[in-house]
Amino acid sequence: MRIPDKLPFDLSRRIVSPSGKPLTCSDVRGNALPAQNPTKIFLRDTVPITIMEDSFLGLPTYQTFEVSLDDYNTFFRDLPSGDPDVGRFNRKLKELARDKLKKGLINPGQMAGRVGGKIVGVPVPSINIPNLVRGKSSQGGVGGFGEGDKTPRKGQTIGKGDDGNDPNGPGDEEGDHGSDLFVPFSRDEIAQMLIDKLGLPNLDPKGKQTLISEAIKWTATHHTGTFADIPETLANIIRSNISAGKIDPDNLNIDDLVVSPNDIVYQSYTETEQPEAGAAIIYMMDVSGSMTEREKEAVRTCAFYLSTIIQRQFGVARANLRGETYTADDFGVGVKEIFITHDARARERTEYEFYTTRESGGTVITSAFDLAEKIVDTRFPFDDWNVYMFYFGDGGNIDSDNEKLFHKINALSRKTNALGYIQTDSQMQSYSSSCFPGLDERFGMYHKHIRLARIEEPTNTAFTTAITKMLEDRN
Amino acid sequence: MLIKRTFGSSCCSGVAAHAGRSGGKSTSTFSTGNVGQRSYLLTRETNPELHNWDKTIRGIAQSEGLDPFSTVWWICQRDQLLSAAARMGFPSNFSHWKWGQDFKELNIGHRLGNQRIFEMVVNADPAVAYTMEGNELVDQKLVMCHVTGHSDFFKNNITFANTNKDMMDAIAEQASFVGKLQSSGISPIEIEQFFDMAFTVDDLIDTTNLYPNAIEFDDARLREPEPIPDNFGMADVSYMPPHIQRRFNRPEVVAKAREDEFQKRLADTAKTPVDPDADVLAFIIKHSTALRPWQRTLLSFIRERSYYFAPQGMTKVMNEGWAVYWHQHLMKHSAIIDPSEVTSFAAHNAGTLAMGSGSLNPYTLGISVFRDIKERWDKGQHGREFDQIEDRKERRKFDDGSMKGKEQIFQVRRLESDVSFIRKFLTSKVVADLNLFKFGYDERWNEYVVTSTELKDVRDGLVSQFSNGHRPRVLVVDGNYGNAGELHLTHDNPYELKADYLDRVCINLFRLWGRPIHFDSVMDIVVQEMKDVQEFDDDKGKFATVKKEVDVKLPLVPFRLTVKPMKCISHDHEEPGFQITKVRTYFHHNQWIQGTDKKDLISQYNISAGQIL
Repeated sequence: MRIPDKLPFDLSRRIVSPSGKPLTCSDVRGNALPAQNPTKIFLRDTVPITIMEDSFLGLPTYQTFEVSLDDYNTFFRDLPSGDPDVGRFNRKLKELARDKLKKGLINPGQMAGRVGGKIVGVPVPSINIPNLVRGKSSQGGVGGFGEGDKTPRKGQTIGKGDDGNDPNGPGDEEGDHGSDLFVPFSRDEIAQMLIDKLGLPNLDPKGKQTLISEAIKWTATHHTGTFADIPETLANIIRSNISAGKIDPDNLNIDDLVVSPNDIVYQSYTETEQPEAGAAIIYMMDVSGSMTEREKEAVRTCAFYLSTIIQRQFGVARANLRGETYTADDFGVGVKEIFITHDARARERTEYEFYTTRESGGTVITSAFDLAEKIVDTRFPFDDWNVYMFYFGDGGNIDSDNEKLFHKINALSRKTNALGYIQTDSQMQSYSSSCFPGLDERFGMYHKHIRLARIEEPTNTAFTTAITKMLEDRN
Repeated sequence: MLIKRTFGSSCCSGVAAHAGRSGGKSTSTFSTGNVGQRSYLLTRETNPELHNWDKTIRGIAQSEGLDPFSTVWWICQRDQLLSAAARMGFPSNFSHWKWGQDFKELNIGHRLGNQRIFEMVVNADPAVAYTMEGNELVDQKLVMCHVTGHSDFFKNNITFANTNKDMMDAIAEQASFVGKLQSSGISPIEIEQFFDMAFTVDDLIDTTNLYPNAIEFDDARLREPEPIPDNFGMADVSYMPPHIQRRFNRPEVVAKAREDEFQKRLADTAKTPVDPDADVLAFIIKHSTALRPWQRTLLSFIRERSYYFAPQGMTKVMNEGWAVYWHQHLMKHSAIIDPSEVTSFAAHNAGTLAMGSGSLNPYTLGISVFRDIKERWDKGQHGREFDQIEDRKERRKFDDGSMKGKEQIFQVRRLESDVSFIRKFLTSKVVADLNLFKFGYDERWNEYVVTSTELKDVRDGLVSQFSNGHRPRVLVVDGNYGNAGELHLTHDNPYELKADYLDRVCINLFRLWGRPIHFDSVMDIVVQEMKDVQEFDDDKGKFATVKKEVDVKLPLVPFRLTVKPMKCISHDHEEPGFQITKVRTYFHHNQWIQGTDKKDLISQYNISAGQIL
């Protein structure tokens, strides 16, 4: 047997302290530094864990560490417990998270999760029961270094104060020890809530039933097999016993029944053909120099929620088409997402790259639409696939390109189910010189296939309006 | 609920009553639903080795003079121990998400090795103690010695004299009451929300009066009710002719009206305590207009628990110090410790007493002071004669061989609580040994700095921290404030309270009381004032005096916080909410009056009634 050089999993991955070394007991006792702000990538890949220090004297003190997602899921998320009230607490957290989601969109950059995954962690401020305690400015106290060489000197700094809330302002529900709890939510649930809140209509994949897929249904029986069909077998046994006259049907006694091998039937399958529905969603983003972090964050939020909602709606539509009920496992089945970023030229990217890329350059918007058209023509022909295209940008374009853009969009609108154009107002691009006025003039805000939206300020209401415009019913 | 075994040994005979108790909705973490027995009672049959050790240790402890309650040991799994610890030692507690949260945090701490709870002991007679099954023998022995110390302290310390030694039963009865409530139609969410409210105010009790903690319904100390005017109940019929006047104001009707009014005024005076009353919870339970009967009962449960746990909060340092002292002392006994276990014991002991990064460890402080007391009284280093010796070397070497240390520490454990313990027995030697310091908050740099290492400052700092069980002291001044049934509370300590917590607690007080709340407290505020400031004038090239508006920080300004119900407008719809107003108060004519100037308004804002906490 050949011994592999490398194990298929990494045994050395442990909970890592911010310094990179594994977390030990002494680290936790107070020598490790508190967590720094993690580098901002799209969905957080580390989760803060808070440990409470002894709370016997005065206010409890907390220390927060960043723990990688894998370790969080393995060690901390669902610790095996025999405690009956942990379920109550988790349910309460889930309610809080649900309320928070209902109130407004949460920035996906603050959620924890893997890009492209089905489950994200929604941050919820940790709940603590307030009591009357001393305030911040008078929070002196007595401490000690214990037996040893460390002697305190007058004026020596022993700790940093935290940035508390303004004591004269209204009390927030913010967690006082600064770390959030992450409540796992499936993207399906989030989509459901948003759809209910915004009143979005169901998707209608029109006439795309040319795709056929084979389905296997385990509803038949056969006289040979591996899994017995118990109810049918029992019925057969009783039937054959009655016809042989061995037992009285009115008082059945189990010991009297005689089982013959012919009575046993096994589960079997039939192959049927089922209509298949496929959707291709193409996201295009302008990553030229005029798009700063602020605009890109708006784009990321919109793209994330659009993706979530469409994947759920499409899953529901597809299940209806096949005559099945939609379950959470069906989220995103049959949906292919393509990500394109462009500056002067367009490139296809992975989802992770789409959300984290930084580039700069001039802007030619038609390059993105050209590439999108090429992808659709080769890989997702409109006859078989439902195609949705969404473009995000700040509207800045080379002047010579504007006319070509309008024609392109007009042409593409006949080849897609829906085409969306979302423009964020950027500091470097003025509205009057962007594409939006021209598009607005040509297509208007009520065009059936081409949907335009403008995000003036990166607020949650603006995002919500944009998403509603993309998906609303326009018949 | 529990194990169906026959109990042979006598120390468990009292257990059957406790063991059999299972409330209607009690969360018994010791159920028999799992494979095998996950937890068991320590008896001669279940674990003879540990049982023998228990008896040995108890015998040796009693020969040393300790007088503990008899202990009932539960050997359980790690998560059951953490469950019990999350519920403060009572597995049959009613359900609440707080236990779940504490359990999760303890579990994480346990996983990372930060907080390793090895045992949990409950103040009861017989004392109930929990320990983990997987511990090594040396750890189990240490735990037993430690628990013996705690048990002796619970039995003999004066602060614990009035705690309910049948608290296990009481808690189980509370849990069964909550269960009956749920089955009688009150939704569990409502009950949980009420408990959330009650937990925020559960420390508003009178720690100076732990003895009569039953609510007295006949308040003998009443004010005189206001006298009823002579023409009360009589209509003015002077304009009518005399033969008609006779028909009005019948004596029996007027007398009844006056009697009713007298009773009403009597009831109103009962709402104003003669002296400010620190037992706020009792006051709310007695006089609140917004509580339904089951809510009153639940609140009185919370109050009972607070009174039960208050002595533990007031003697934490002493209790732990005493237990550590005895586990160190008993483990040296040759009958208990085995030479192979010595290093393990030393490591565990050191871990318990560790004090890194500046935070104070109550175990270490307690044990150091107890050891210091023993040494000083053994050598006679106390009393007037000793205090008069000035020379430091002579003081250190003083030894008159009186050997009264043991007697003294036993007396200390009987009579003192944390505040008096520190105040009387903390010496500069202990301060130096433990490198204690007092620190304060430096606002300029937003950090904490050491302000002093002197005995006086450290001692005063500790005493002020420990006073009233680490909590501020809140008093009820008037339950009929403004003759409108509003509650007027005041806060007795010379420090500022955490503002957002104060808001939330006052909102919950409003919900419990039903009428507006007025809370007097102090706070640091920043005011703009016109002041003469020396500034360098660039034009003239020299310093000149200029009148400028400067931020002046006023420390500890008295103010009054008022909570009133108010409709808040948020997101285009109206929501019920509260308005919180903070106004400066001034002492005028022997009482605190709100300022009426516009400057005196510190802040006013609305909070919607969304969350309970």
